[in-house]
Amino acid sequence: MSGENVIGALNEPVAPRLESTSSLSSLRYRHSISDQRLSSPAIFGGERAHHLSRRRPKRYMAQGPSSMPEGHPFPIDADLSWRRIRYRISLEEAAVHTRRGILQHVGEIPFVALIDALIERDQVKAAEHLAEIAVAASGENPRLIALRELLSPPKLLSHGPAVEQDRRFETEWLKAHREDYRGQWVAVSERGLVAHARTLGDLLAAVGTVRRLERPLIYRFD
Amino acid sequence: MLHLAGEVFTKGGSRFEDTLPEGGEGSAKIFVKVIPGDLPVTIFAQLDTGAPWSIFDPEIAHALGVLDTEGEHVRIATRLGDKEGKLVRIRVTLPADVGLGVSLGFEATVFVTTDWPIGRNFIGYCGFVQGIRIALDPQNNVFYFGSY
Repeated sequence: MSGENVIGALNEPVAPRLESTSSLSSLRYRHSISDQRLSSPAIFGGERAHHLSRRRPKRYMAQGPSSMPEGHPFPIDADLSWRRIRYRISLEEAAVHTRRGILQHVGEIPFVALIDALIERDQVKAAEHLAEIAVAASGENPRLIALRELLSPPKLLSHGPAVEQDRRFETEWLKAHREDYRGQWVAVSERGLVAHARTLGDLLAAVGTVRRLERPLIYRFD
Repeated sequence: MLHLAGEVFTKGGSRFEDTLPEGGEGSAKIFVKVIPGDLPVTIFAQLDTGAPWSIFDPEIAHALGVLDTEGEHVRIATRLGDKEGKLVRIRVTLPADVGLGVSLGFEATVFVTTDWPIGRNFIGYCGFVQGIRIALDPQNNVFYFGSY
């Protein structure tokens, strides 16, 4: 499966894209995978269960998705052209399918590279979804778990006391002295200059030794 | 503390600056106060909800110990072009000004790279703004924030 296919599939609009309105069963699926991808050996391990030549007869299709045999992941609508159908799979369904062994060769999918490609294209939401799927499919892969963590929303750690104050004095001081400290880091508090240094490391060392109880505002002049 | 439809919306606030001490910005921006990690200092970071990622300058990242350690290497598009670096998860505090509620400490995702101007820090959407509630009072330069 190529990166282009995955990127395209994850960025399909949520609404089902069917040429006909006769398939209620297809509404169950949210992520889009083309029939070409369904037959991809990379996803389904080369099994022929979904090949065009093995379609169910029409009389069977008419009974709806609830009558599908166990293990058949995708309901079929006989009135639709196979080549036009796009199936949609939710994250939960993807996990279920994984447990059923459909993604037998999931280890061959370069999830990390695909997620990186999505990030590079600013498709962060799709990357987040793929990371969820990848972790569900791959188990305890530490790198995928780390990626999922990085792509997740921030985690609240604590509420704390108010520790800041109006910094108008400091900003005015910085504006007044911007020519004096070109190329330097400057630490300023409500009492004026605390320290200045060429590197942040040196500045932090100076701040730590000068006034430990204050939290100065720091700024780096170009 | 702000309320929305009777519910608490934000619990803290701090005054923001709309220009840097050096100037140079074409128009007013929003520079909010941030405490990166456990550093004993406060920095200004530009709030940019249109940016996908938050970015801390390389010296801040080095001081936090995340620039030279292992991380997930990625390439992202920034206002300064495509940059290669790492996404890291670090503790960040949005400090409240005295009298404006409580500070908010959380673990956020930040992009760090050596290929970035020193002193330029940004707060972007993914891994940061997406998980907090914010409100602005532009007439009084107050940035309100809260958690879900």
